[in-house]
Amino acid sequence: MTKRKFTLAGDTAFETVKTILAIFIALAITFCVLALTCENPVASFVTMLTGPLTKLRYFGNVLESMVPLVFSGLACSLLFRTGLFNLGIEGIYYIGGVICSYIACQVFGNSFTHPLVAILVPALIGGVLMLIPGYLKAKFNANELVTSLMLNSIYLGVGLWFIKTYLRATDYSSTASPLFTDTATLPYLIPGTRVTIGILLAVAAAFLIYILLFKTRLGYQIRMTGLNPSFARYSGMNAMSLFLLVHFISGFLGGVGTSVELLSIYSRFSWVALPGLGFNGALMAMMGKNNPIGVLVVAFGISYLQIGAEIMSRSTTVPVEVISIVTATLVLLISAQYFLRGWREKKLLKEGLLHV
Amino acid sequence: MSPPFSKKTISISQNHNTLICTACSAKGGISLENSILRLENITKVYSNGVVANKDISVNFQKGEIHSIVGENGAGKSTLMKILFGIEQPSAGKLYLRGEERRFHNSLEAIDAGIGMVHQHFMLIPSFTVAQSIVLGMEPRKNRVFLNKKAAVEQTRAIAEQYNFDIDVTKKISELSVGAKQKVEILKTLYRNAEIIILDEPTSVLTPQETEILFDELEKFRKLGHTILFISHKLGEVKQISDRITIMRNGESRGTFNNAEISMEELTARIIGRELISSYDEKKRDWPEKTPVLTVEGLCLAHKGQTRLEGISFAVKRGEIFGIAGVQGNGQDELIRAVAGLSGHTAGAIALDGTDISKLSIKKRREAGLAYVPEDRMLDGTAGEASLGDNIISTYFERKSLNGPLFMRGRRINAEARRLIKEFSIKAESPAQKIQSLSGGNIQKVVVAREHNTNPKCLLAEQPTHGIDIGSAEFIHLRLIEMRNAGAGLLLVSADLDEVMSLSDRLIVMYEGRIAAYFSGTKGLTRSELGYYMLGVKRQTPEEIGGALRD
Repeated sequence: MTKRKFTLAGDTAFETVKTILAIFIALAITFCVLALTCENPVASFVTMLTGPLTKLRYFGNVLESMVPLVFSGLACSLLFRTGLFNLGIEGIYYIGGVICSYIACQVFGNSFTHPLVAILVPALIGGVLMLIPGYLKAKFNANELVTSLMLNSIYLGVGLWFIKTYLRATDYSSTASPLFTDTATLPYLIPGTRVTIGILLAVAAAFLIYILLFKTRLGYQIRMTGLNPSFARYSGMNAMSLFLLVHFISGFLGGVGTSVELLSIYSRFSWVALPGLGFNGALMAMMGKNNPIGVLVVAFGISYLQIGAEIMSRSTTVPVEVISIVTATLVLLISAQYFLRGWREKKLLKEGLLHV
Repeated sequence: MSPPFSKKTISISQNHNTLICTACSAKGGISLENSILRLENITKVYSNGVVANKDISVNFQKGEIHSIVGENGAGKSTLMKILFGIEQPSAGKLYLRGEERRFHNSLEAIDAGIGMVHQHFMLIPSFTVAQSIVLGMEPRKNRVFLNKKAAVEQTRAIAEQYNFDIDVTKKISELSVGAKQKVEILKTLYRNAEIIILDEPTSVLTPQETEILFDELEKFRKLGHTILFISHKLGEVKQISDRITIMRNGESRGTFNNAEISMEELTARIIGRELISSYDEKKRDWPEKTPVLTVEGLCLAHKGQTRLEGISFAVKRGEIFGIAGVQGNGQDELIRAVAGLSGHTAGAIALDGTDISKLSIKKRREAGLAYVPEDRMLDGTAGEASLGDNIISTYFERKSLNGPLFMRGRRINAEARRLIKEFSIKAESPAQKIQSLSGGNIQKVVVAREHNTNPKCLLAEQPTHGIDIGSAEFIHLRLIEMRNAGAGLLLVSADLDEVMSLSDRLIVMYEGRIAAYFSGTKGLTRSELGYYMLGVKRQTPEEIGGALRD
């Protein structure tokens, strides 16, 4: 056995080269759009790229907005890894948020136990709720994409009904819960920002899921089942219990994610539509190649660009939506299998990695 | 352990080119006007970095049967895919009738007069023979409507022209494997193919069907067609070829006139040494030949069709029990039922005296069953996963590989390294994706894994299907070693040579039933087995009962 010498065309290095190039292309396209539409494209572009670093508060914005994306990204990547295309985290974010808000509005315990309960209860319920599409998949081979999307609508309806019936603030003009009790909110981590210990939880969760996936027997079964279900079955692995377990963990992460988001940034629950954070999680998972650390990096990057675009839109005429161009281009190029393939083949040929 | 045995090796001289006849050199002027297809320095690199073809130059003549031989992973299939426009060469040129060409897809190749018969047929079961042949270029009425009558007439005419005995109004699903292959060949002829590529055409045929195919190929040659014959079976290659091109490690090792190269030399050039002629001397007797796997009265009905009927046999410790038969006669269903991957309607399956027919796959494995599946990419491995992950999948919960919470990566790596060495798997490291290995090496990973569970009974389903000769021999020796150590092996194979050389006892399956039982392979001939495989002959129930009784 000889160690393969390092080459840019190797597996990991190639993915990195591909991603960096994708970012460059995405930014170049954005610059072109800016050049065509705005008066001072260079300044706007620089503001977008460096804006979040100019003030601690801006950088805090980046960190706070990446937290819910990390959790939903992790939840999705776990499902995708198992070969399950389930988008139900969106619904869990909504219904979990309702449950979390209900607890957060009560007078209960102290500033440690209150948020703990307000996070754990929605997490457990989220896990149990995710078992529904998991069970339907494992038992009846029902398409988890369809069932999870339908459940999203159901959870939205049930959640809205609950808020309107039992948790509606009487002193507030639109549909929303009363203010959360002070003890429920999470403590701030960086003074002068809204960054709470939620960011620590998110990073910890990413590392835990990483260890789960790559160091444990459960993770091994998840990876093998996701890569080739027939092979996993042939090897004696039980897809039914695995599907259920993965769904539970994923729903649990969703419940934690939504609770941490609410208890960090919001003072009352006011979502009257699906928040979109769960769907964005699917994007994070995909761009992070279903790798927990990848999800962490992607969530940071996307949040950074998003905040940069917001800062830019405040000082220029460019709308914040321009960031969608960057995101869309990135998704396209990172997920495109054939992108740079020709270059790689030529490079491999030249480097003479002739192992047949 | 088996004693060492002498292996005769033939050293291969580097300047093998001296043996190449002048006619096949691309630059040799004599035959150029007779050349129909010429490859010049063809190189192909796949995106995973595998160089499948390297600098290959061959000259195919008009009206010859030209065999391409080599181990799996030698690059034969890739080369054919390039000829047929399925793959694009990374470098090199292709000349058709002296003119440089490049096929971007198979349609262009077909238009240029190249036809290909794939190893796995590309036919629609519900179509008739005539419909299948004209598919894609149907004769039309008023430019819009199908002209079924003309389709039948045209296909009948072409079948007659080439002396094919086939009823063009029959449905594909009613045809035998040999007849399906005829349809595939007719398809290429209907498209005016001058060059016909046959990829492992005899792998699915009985000896009798193979003879018929060879007669037809002779006819095509006389009519001026060029046949490219890809095969593992050197006996057939020697029997039918005019010229032979040998490939090894993605490179051409020369083109030879059939008459100028002996069988021994051919083998030696393909694998670098001679093969063991018989496995008999490797076999050792196990003292207690008690049954380890007993199958009694196994039946399976699926969607109203009987797939298995009254299958009874016993596999004993220290023996290889063979199942011969044309593929698709119930062997697959039988093995999957024993392994627990699919159910059965009636009957008992016992391992070591205890009934396992209700147990889960995992429980069956724990009871001492191991399984080398037919399709190594579908069931046997996860292609995207690393070699290390693949080589432990059936025993990943083993104590030695796990701590209380985590799997022990270092131990897994060490175990993988040990198996890589023990089974001489050609791989760079346990972290390598398994799909980047050659077929033979992937199969070795599967066998190594199943061997490592130390099973009481191993189900080996087509264990050497489509892999190179060297790896196949290696796997055969490993199976015999397991047998010598007291395991019971159930071997299913469509390759008669394999079943006959390995088995101690064997049965033949035909249409879901046991057609014959033989208590030994001494004096058994291929054609005798062929009759049972084709359903021409069938033994009495009394004779067949020996499979369980003996």
